[in-house]
Amino acid sequence: MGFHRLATGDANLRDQPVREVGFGDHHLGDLTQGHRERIAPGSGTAAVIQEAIREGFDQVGVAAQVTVVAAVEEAVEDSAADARPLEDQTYGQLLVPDLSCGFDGGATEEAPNLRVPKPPFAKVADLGRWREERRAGIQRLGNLASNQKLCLQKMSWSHYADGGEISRNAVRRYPAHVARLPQALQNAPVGQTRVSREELSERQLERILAAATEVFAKRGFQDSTVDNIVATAEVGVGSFYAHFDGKDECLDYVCGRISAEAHAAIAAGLGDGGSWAERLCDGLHPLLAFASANPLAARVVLLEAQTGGPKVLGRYATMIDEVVDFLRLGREASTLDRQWPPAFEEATAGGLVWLLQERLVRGELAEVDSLFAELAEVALEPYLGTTAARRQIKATLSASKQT
Amino acid sequence: MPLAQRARSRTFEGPAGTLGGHPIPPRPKPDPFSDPIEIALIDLIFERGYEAVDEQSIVARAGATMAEFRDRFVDKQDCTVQTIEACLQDFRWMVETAYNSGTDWRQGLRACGWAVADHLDEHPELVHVLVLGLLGAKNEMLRVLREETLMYGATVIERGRAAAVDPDAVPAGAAAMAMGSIAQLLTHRLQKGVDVAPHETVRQMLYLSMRPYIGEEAAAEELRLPRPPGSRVRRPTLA
Repeated sequence: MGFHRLATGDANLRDQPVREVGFGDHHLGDLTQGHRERIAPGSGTAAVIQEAIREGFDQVGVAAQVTVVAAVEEAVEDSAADARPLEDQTYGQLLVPDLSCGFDGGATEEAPNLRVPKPPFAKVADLGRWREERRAGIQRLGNLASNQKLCLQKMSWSHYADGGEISRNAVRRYPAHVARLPQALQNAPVGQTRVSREELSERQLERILAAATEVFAKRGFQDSTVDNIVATAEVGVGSFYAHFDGKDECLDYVCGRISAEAHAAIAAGLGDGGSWAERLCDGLHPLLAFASANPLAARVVLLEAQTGGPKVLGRYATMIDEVVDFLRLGREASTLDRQWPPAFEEATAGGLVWLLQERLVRGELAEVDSLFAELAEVALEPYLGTTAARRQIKATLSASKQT
Repeated sequence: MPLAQRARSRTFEGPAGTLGGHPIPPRPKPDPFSDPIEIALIDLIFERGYEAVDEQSIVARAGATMAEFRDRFVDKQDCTVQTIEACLQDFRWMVETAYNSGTDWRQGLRACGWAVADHLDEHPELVHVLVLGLLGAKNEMLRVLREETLMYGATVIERGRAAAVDPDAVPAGAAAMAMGSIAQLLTHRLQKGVDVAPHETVRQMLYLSMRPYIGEEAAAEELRLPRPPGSRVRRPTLA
């Protein structure tokens, strides 16, 4: 068989009976017999194509239509370049199958039903718009994986000359694992919006942070490695180093993130105004609840941070200083006739952290209310006295039970 | 056991006290403050951090041979554990010696406080290693030794429960809280690189430790009381 490209200026084609005509990668070799019969010799390929399109090609799949459209487009281009109009003078009204009509029922994942009902045709005003609609039509095949589209586009006409189920079978010629990309290799679930690069990077970062928190807490920072983290996060080493220079920086970032979340928990518990004692209790209880709900995170910030590098140690020291500064406000709030030594709040803050660390190591963070009562009394009693301190603690516990 | 018998069973090298029931442990041999290898180890950990120290550098700093090192220790880790254990045993000897110089818990604890302040002042490298250096060690045993020392300090403070007017009124975690306060204050200042100033804070730490047991008014006296005799613990010179 010979392939006769619809080359421009090839006058011989005009009189050639249409047998097989090739257009680039596509060939219309196996036109249906019916079409052949209706097309008189000398009608020209364009007429054949138009005739085929007019018939709607409802017996062949969308891919075939795409193929035909591509072929027709090429023919129009060549004809225009040759200034020799094709047989049919209605190129301005050349009909293009509307590929957006979707698929009919019975589609399967492996071989979506490519058979399309007789598609509505849209008039094409000009070649440019025709091209755009063709491209849009292929895009609207979006439910197919990219390699499926490639397969379909490369398929020759002869694969589905018999129409109907041929198209589906043609797709099935390719094994499912070839016809469809593995989920892990797809940028997005088939049929859904692609994830942007920024969003993908953000998701990876969150996975790394969650994995780092778990690894640091369970293995200890000193015994943790980047390999441990990436294995837990199920990301590549390159992805880790795209975000961090090493595990020290990662620990610092993790501690910063956890600290921010803890501050948010405290802020959520604080009301507007209130006495120093009320604010201490209103902030301490949700903080302990946060630690109880996130024991791994608490372990990283309270224990493992002390084994980190200078940046992390600085962050830990800042945390202690914040507690010291707040406790020192108790001096102004106190009505007791007492003198507190200069390092009193510094020691008290250290004691509170120490107690929290002890409970953490012993796995006793879950008892939030009893832990709160113990820590709050240590913090409040020097400034309020035992009775007032316990009264405030009781009020806070009652309020927390009501919320 | 009668008090006189308890006094006779005690072995100590400092001034005899009247407190009973708290034996003074023997001093470690060799003396960690005289042994060249152990001194070299502590100095190197202070300078470089535990993980950056190797056996060759220890031996070189000590002016010893690897054979001498291997004769006593299996490896760096073993050397560190033995050295720290010796230092902690020496610490306990010092604390109990000072404690037994008092006539009651308050005097004993006061003497302990000042003796520990001297210790912090005289051995800053050791304190840094024990408080901070071992925090970053991968060896779990070393971190356990650190925690054990702190817990030992809490047991000394907890002796005050027997001295309290109402022992049941003292919170259960009072001693742990006090010891934790002292440890965290020490850690915090070392981490920030500021002067620990042990002699400036000892009275405050005594006040903090005694408050739960003897009350605010009595504890506040500690902020003004002078250093007690018997709190200067002298180590015997190496024979």
